[in-house]
Amino acid sequence: MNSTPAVANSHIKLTIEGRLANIGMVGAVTRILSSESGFSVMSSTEIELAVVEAVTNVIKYGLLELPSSDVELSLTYYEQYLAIEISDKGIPMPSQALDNADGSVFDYLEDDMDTWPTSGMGLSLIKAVMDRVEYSSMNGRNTLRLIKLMESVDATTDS
Amino acid sequence: MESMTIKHQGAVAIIEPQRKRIDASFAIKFREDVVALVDQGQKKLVLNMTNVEFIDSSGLGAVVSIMKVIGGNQNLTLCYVKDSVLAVFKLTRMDKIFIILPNEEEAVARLQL
Repeated sequence: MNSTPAVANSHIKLTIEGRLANIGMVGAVTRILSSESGFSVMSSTEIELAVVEAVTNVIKYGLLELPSSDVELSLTYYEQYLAIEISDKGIPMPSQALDNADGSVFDYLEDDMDTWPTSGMGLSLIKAVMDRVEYSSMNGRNTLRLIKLMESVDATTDS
Repeated sequence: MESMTIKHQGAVAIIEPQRKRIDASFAIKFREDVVALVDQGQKKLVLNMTNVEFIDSSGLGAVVSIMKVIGGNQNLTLCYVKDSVLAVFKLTRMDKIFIILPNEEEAVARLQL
């Protein structure tokens, strides 16, 4: 990316009531918007997956599925990348959670059923499909920021 | 809408989820319903994923849990898995532990070996 501030092609903001029943709609909207913005079918699906995983985590662990609380989803489509922010005012993610999601959950033994994971894969999946993942918690507001580069952009370019 | 349909072919139960998405809103019920079948004595299962367009880690975890309960991939096969769903299996390497076949006929036949 060059030093000129990026200009957003479009910016969409959604407020999601903290119920798991809302996750499907959020995912579908994210996928459609991403496809319309030029991402491939597979990348749009990956973006949908990341957003669904992130929003699910917030609802389950941050908001404890209290429907009176909301999750805010912001999607900003730039020429070269998509910036996603998932924000809430619930319980922050544990400080090491993101670092600990290093993909090792997928290093199970194929021939040992006891090692196959049935949970704890969400953050690792987000990191696997997004180009950058950052988390901040400040003044009672938690924000997970995700970046997905357009396929035509070199992934080594700093964004 | 019922969450899944079940039919039998010999000793094999073919389960077809009726939901497009197996995510956190459905995964627990899905797992519970299938495990109930296993508890009732069903020993061979095919998951026909024709209708499923999306699966997340919750859904995948439910399917893994089902496979653990039924005793491994010699007792469970999947079929009609869409690319969008297969992608999640591949991201987690679970395409190596699940037997995923192109159609129901092959999925059933594999369990009858």
